Amino acid sequence: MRTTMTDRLGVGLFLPGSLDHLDRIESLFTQADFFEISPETFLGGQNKDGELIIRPDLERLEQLKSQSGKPFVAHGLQYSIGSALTQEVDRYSEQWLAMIAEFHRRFDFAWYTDHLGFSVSPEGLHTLLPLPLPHTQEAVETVGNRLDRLRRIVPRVGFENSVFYFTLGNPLEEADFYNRICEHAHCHLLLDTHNIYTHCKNFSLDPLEFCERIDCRNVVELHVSGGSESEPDWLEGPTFRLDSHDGPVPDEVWSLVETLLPRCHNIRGAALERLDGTVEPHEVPQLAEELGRLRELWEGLVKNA
Amino acid sequence: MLESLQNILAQSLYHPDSQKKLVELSVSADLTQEERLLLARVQPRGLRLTHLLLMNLRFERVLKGRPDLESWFESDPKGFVEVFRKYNESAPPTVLFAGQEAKQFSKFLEQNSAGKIVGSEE
Repeated sequence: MRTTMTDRLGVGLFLPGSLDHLDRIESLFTQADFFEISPETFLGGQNKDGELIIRPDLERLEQLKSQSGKPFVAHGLQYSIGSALTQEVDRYSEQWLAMIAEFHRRFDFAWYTDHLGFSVSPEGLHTLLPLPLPHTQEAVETVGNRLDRLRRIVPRVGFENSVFYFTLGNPLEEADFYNRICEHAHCHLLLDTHNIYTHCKNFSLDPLEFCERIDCRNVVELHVSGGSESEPDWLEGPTFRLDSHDGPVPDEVWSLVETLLPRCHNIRGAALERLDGTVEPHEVPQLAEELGRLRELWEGLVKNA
Repeated sequence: MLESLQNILAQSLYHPDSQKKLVELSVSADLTQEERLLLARVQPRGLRLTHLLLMNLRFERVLKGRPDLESWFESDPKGFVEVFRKYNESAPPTVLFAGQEAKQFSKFLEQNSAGKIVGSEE
């Protein structure tokens, strides 16, 4: 079923967990139709029972929600949707789900996405970055299982195409893997256009061929962002593109947005993402321009719907 | 055997020679032929970069959790990095927050000769 006009939230802005950063970009709030947050960036630690502690200054965002009346969506970092189904990881997941439930109670998220991959191993090692999954049926079912648990809290759930610097399978077939998960789990895809650009650049793939393989009917949201190159002295040979989301949106990414947006018939929003602490005061006007450009593209989609 | 695969990857990525560790663990683990093949085809440069990114993130967490260590790092970057390297080898990454990581690092310093180094510099 196609998304109707009233289901669409419009153009979104990612809000960082650092209040200094938040203050810096406050002038952009009026340009956004919805806001996106990562609950993990508002955590202050764990209590003696292992429960995750929410920082008191989250109140600032609750005020923004009530004053603006604008919807919020969540983009998690560490629920680890691809971790194998073991008791150790289940204990971890339960802590996460309790925290997500509290955030959802406060923000009534329109949808909740997390990164494809695993960031906690069955032995309990934290990898701090999402790591790749094999394109196996077991991995598809594992992601489906974890998203099902999340769906009990937030009805609309999905995952983002993560960036991996190595893969467990053919890098081109990552796109097929997204489709298989969406089909099995009846979930959504948050398509990060910079991550597509990064993945294709690092693995020497044609981004258009990669995009052709993605079933865009599953896309609930597009992410638009920039990134940077790895330090040249880290590795011999060419640098890698990093999904650091810390710079201006490159032309190649805008071009992907223009290509993909009209294909995403069920899309509900497109958000500009810039990570915590990566915006200098002189860059705010540039972010305002990027939001304006995204709105033009979004309105073109709405006009042609 | 997603479980084995993920344990192997996580262990390998915290090892200074991730590729070597990956090969070593792949041989001994309970894996299907398909999974063994997937691990054998992991791109070594990408694995190395991921290792470096993880180390960088862990390093940043220590400094974020204990900003007072920055003066030690600034005055003796090589020495500090060497202590961090030993810490990384001895303490599995099982904590979630910068504060917890820093506490674990402090405990490591107390329990090791490196503690004497930091003690004399502070």
